[in-house]
Amino acid sequence: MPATDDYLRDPKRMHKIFALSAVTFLGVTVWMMWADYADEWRGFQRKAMSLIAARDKAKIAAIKQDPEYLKQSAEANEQVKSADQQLKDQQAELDTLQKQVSDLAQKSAATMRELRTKRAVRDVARATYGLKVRDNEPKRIQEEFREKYDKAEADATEFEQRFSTESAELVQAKAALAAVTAERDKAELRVKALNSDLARLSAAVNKIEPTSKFSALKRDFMLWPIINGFNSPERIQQDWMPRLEISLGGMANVQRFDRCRTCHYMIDAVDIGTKPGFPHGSGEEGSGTFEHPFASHPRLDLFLTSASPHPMPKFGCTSCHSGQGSGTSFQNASHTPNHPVIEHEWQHKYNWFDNHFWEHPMNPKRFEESNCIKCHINVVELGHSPKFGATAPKVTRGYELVKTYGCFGCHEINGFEGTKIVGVDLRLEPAAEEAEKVANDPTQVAGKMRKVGPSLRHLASKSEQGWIENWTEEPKSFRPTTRMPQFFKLTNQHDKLAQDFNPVEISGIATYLLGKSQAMDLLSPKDGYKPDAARGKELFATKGCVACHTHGEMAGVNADFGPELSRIHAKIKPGKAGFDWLYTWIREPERYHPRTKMPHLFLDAQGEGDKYTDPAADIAAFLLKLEGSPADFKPTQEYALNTVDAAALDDLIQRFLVKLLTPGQIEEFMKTGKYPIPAKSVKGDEIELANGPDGALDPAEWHQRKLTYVGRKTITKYGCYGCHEIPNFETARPIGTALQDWGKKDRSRLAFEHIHEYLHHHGQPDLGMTIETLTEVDATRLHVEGGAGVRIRAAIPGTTPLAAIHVDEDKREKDALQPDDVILAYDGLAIVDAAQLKAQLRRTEPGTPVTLEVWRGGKSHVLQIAPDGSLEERVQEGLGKALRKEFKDPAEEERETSAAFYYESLGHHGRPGFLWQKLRQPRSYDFKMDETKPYDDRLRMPKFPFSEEDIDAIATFVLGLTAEPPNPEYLYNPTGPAGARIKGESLLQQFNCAGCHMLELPEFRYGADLEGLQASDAAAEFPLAIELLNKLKPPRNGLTGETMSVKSGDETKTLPVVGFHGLIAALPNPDDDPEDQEYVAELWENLKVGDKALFPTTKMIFPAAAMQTMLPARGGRYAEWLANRLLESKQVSQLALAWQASPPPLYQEGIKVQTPWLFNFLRNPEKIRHTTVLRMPRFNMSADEAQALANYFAAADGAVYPYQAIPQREPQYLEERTAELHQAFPEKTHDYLTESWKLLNSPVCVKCHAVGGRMPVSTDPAKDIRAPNLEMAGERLRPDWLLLWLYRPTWITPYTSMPQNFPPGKKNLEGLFGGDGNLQTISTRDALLNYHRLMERDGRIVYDPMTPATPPNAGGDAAAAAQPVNSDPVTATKAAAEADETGGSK
Amino acid sequence: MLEHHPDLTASVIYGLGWLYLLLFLMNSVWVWRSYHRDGEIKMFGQGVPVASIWALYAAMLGMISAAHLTGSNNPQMFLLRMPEAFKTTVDYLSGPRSFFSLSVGLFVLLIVLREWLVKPTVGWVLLNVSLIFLALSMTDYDFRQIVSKPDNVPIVAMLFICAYFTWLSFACAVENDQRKAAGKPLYSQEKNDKILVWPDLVYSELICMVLVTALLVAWGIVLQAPLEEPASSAKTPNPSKAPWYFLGLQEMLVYYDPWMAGVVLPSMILVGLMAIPYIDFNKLGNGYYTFNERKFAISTFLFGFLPLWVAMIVLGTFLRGPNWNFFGPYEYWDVHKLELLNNVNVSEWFWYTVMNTKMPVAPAGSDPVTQAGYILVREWLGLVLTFAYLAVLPPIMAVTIFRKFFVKMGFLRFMVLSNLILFMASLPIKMVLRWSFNLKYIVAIPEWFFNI
Repeated sequence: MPATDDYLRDPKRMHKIFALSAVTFLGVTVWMMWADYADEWRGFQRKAMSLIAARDKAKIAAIKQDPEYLKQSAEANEQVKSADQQLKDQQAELDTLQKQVSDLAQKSAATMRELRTKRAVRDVARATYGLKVRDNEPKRIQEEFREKYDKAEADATEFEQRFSTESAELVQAKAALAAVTAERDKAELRVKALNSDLARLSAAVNKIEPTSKFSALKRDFMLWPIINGFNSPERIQQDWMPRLEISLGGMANVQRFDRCRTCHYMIDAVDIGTKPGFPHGSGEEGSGTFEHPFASHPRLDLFLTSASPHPMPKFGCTSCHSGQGSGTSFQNASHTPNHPVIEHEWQHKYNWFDNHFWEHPMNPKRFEESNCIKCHINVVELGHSPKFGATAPKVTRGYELVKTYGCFGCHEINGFEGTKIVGVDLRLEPAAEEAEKVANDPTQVAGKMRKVGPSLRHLASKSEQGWIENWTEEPKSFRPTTRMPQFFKLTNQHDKLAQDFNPVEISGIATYLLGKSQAMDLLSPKDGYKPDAARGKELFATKGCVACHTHGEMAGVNADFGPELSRIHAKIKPGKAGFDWLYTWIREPERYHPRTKMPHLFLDAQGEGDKYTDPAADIAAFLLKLEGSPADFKPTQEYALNTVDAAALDDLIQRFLVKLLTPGQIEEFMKTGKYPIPAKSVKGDEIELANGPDGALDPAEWHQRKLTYVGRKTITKYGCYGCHEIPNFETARPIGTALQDWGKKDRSRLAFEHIHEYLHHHGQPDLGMTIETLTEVDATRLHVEGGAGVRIRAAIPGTTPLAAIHVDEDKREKDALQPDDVILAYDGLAIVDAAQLKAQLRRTEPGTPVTLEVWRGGKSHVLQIAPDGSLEERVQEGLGKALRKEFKDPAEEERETSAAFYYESLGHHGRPGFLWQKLRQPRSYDFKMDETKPYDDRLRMPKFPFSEEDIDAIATFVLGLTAEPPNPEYLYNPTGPAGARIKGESLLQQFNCAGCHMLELPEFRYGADLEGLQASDAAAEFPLAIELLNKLKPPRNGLTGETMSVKSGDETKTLPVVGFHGLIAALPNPDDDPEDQEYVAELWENLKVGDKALFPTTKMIFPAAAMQTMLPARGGRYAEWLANRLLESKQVSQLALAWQASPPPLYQEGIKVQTPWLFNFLRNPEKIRHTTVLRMPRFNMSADEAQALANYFAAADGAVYPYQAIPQREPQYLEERTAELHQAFPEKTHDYLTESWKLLNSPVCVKCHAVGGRMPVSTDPAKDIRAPNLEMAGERLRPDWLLLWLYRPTWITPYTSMPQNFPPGKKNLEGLFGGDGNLQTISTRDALLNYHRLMERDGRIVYDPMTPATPPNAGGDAAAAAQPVNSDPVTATKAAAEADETGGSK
Repeated sequence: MLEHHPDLTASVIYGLGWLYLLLFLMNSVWVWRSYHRDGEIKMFGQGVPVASIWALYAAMLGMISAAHLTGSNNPQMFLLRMPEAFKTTVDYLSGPRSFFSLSVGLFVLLIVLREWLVKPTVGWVLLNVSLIFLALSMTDYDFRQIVSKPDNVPIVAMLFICAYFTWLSFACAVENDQRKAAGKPLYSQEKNDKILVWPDLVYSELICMVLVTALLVAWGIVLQAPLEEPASSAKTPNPSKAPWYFLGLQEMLVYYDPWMAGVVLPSMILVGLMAIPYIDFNKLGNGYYTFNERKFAISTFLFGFLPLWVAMIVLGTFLRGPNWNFFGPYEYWDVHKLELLNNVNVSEWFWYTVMNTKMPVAPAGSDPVTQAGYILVREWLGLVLTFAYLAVLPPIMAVTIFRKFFVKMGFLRFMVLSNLILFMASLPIKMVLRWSFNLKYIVAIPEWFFNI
């Protein structure tokens, strides 16, 4: 059929439709452009710029109002004006000169233009000629071109000369002009300099808000869509870190691009120094603070700035914070809310959602420190840095918890791949047999951690089965503060099967440990010695035990480095054997375990006859509460043995064997006790079964064998050897999941099981009723004795009251908590308020029985309950309260929102949530799983006594373990002093040095009345002493820059805050009038307050009201406690003496002692002081450790290490001194050292010190205190320190009894160095440093100017030198003093 | 805030409001059409215009829409959702077997009921039902999650488009068939629907092009391309899915060796499609829609396209979840769901179950020829069956059900046709065997990477 000419559709209508569709298309295109343009970052950048402009404008306004500026600027303008005025008089001359300059400039410029052409012509001619030469053209042609060149060259030269003449003329003319206008030019320069800040700020403002209409228009134009692609003022800010790669899930590592600054525009803006330019805060008008993203980084001293350790171009943002650096929207950057309340806010504000596709979401605030440990693999510097303080305290705390609780015993944390560092390394040191192999293998690095629990190798010599079983079952029932976690009675052990098997397992463990225990050589006190517990108590206090251990009878000091010892008498085995074990342990701990942390305390027996005492025995008697002889010792508690159900034992063994043997073999074996596989082919724990005796089956032996096997199996299962040394488990592998890359563990590989269902109904120990702190009204109404407790207010509607068992003397009845019950005690702990009860509940494992003391009906009852509640309910309640802002206590809000965060994380199968719940209730993941899995596969992670805050810190640490090492250049593993500090810091912790010693003194900050501060009198000192003081202790600025208002009397003054380090000498007396209460502290450092110098020992006295803060000392709690105890118990009369008796502060130890000496001392501490009541113990320190620690102290104080030059021993020095001596005292013929030796052997030193072979000769026993033997000073002390010490001992240690022996302005021993105190001090120092040489060379001498003593002729006689020379004459005449030669000679 | 799977959110309720509004507008137009075309039906003893029923329905939709858009956005207060009983039933009935059976059943119904289905009112009712099903299903969190994934939105659209064009072609075909039966000329002949290339065709195409481009741009802005996790060899996404258009092929992987499902069968599809013009001997139906004249060709093609391709894509997209397990449309994609089957090869069944003996295994260290011999002996039954299927079946077909075909086509063309059909049929056959007998492979020679 032919087509018609009719159109199917009306063309006009088609045109309209086409037009419409075209318009639609256009609209969509515009929409697309708009969508592309409307990035949220543009808005942020725009606002950021306007904020910057506003700030700069404010600064401009401030400068313009500054009277100083106004004054100077007026002056400068006036100068310009007057200079102009002057020039007016010379106007004609000026005009001529100006014209001349301008003419000449024009002329020379014209010449230059010509000259350029001529040069070009010449260059072409030269090149053309060169070509001819190269082409070997005929000579004629070559010459022709050569001529052309010559001509061009001549032409050019002519113009060159003309130009240089004209230039010279121009310079001259300009100089002439400048000479006339010099005055004005200077004035103008000054104006310019004055206005330079203004100009800079205006330029900055002008860039953002141009004043010129045209510029503003141009700027606006550049911001248009499309146009903004070309160098727009608003653009994406990008940081590129090619060496700091980001791992994209195993396929590729890509270079890191961070665009965070696109929105966080002022993140690196500084104000003055490193103060943030836009401090973070609420951002409210007038607060001077800014909200993100308009705020600056709070720690610009530490991050982003070029002078900081983490400059922006090198580190970017996401290397620390994580997140998607390339994202330019709030959502794409993968911000992570800190808790669900913030999440809620973000969802509304930014449409936030959890983008689980990005593997590196930003760390929420709570984990902001996690990433630090990727580079800071040693961690310790994050907790303590001399320059920056505690920069990452939370991750450090997590690290310390992991170290203290020994998580690495079961969960390997391997920081190495071969020898390549990949992260924090916390591995157990290899067992003895492995250690050597690892040491010789260049591809391996050995672990360094020791097992955290005590060795169980000799357990039988210490405890008995009953106690071991009791302890294993629930350690905290014996010692509430123990770090040992709980393995039994947990949520997956409440069923029948576990109830049957657990006693068998516990009994098995004890049987195994005792059965395999190895004998050890025990020490015993001398026969018939009767230990004295009272004396033991005193020794326990003074010999340093409480630096690590807590004991109920030692009030005021709590150390948790070692176990709490209050109940040790209930655990040691009875009789002499038990006593001897403790005695041996106290006296020689290394006998029990060669690598124990317990040091050797040198508690050797002393005295003779009646005076014979054995301190270790006394302390043991005190700890064991021993009254009679050691043989009478009986533990104060008896422990019932677990009843082992024979059927359960057999059942358990069969369950173990089912994987190894056939059913028939098992049945046969259980009947006959003959293991079907020969012992030598058995590899695993079954060796215990295979090693049976031949012959008939002895039921007792058989039972024992089975128990031992179950014990061994159970130890294998629970990995007890991760913390304890156990025979046969020396090389066993850790049982837990390795943690070195747990922080990036794939979430789908975490077994969440039924945790959500569990937490719906459980997981939060709770009474299920509303509670409140008992009010006074209720206390009266209910007649509560004591008036304190927590009242149950009401049942929560819809829940049944918590079931309880009413425990009476002999019967147990069902009961329930009721309203108006008042809880007085929780598991024996008195309860006074609701918060405390809640805290206790949080620490309880849900479902475990708890004993409550309850006040009901006018008397006290005992109820047993199993508090159990829903975590979900707790979280919902907490969130509701947080949203309604009902929390009053920020700590509580933090805890509840944290719980909500972790709960939510669990819901999303997040790592943090998994970890949190795993540590709170390790077995809860077995909820309903234990019904279907084999008994042996049940979860075995024990419950540690962690609080939720602890868990938060641990999570921060563990989530940072990703084994994604950054480029090695980013690893912070320094050598040199910084490295020595890091190594030392961890050793300080390892050996608990800070338990006894103060490492840093307390810092006091108070509002100081600067007028009233008395500057130290430098004029009264030797100039050299002041110089040395300033060298060894550089003056520190005491002004903190803060001010505080101090009320004194009726007036309130604003005073500057001064901070200083020192020791308290007197606390405010509470009996005094508040007006008169004041602190007295002794300054230990060289302080500068304004222009006043305050030397150490200055007494700082200030009213109690002026105290701002007191930052406690680092360490040394024991020393303080001991000093106070000695003073209070009147064992010493003054605080200074008490301090002398206590462990000394290790303040600036590095500049004091010589490193080699310290090394030896740490390895084998000798007795130095006679004033202390205790001695430095000997730790089981390896040479490496001692070396590192010795280096640490030097490095920490910036001293030279490991070797120190002693120039005072060098011949050149000594010759110079001798020459000086001979010049000043021509009558002396002997050398300088001999003169010094006399000085040292004068009566001054020997009063307190043993010196030159003599014991101290006290002239006033009440005042003279036995001081260290000077024999060791020369090897021990550094020359500069020693000199300063001799100049002014109290400058170094304010509490010392050492006097200033040669004070300025006083002549003493004028026969030596003419009585010049300065020379005498130096000379004493030199003698000390050459002590051994002098002892050898000059021998024993006595110099006493008072007495013409017979010179002991004993130069080289060592025997004589060693004898005390107490009989030396001590009286003398003044005349004898002149006869300087009588003191001693060769 | 802690509700991780909110069935309803305020934005879903609003979104549904717009959908109901659209339905309301569509049906309002339909009311107008119905008023003009449908006439009256007898109700309550008097004639009632059919349009009034539609009007009632449209009004109800209008009210529902208004309630969604203006009412409470508190999900707890919201009542109009897919009944739980329905969801449970659908989830319960879901499974590859029932899904496949259902799709084949629907396919058969489509053919059988074509004359009824192509009535505009029926078509309209079906469209309404499907849209309301979609709207109600959207109130379910799990359904919404999977359907509204930006990747999957086009597949939902494809379903409607596919259904519409199938319906349209059947409508045309049925009309022509009826005309033929009545002896009337074909629709195109009678209506003379030839039009001019310019402007009728090209201009329309231009407008369409512009509008479709605009639509794609708008789509690109509104539904951002989903960016998932960075690729990792250590952690692959679960489930790992092919692009949607290959999900039919991927479904074959469940039943066939990768070699078969990934290479042989797709090649056969391509070759087969190319071969159609050469094996088609039916001269009828050229240039116009018809079903009755090309029953075999259309049914075979549509069987391959609808149940075996489109339905498999739907299955792969919406119903295969983590671990490639099957999930009902309202079922939570739980990675912990386990569906493990112990599948058995024909040779295993033969040697272990039938012969009750061990499999023939070549002695260790024997030469390749001996090994090959053992393997062939081991797999003899599968090999014979396969051979019989591909070589013996066609001649039997030629003398039985396809006798007419064989006569008309000649040997070569018939063999090609029969083999193509057999290959197409192999997928449903293998499915049925898997479901009925846990059959893994008919021929299993992993040594040579050859499994069927």
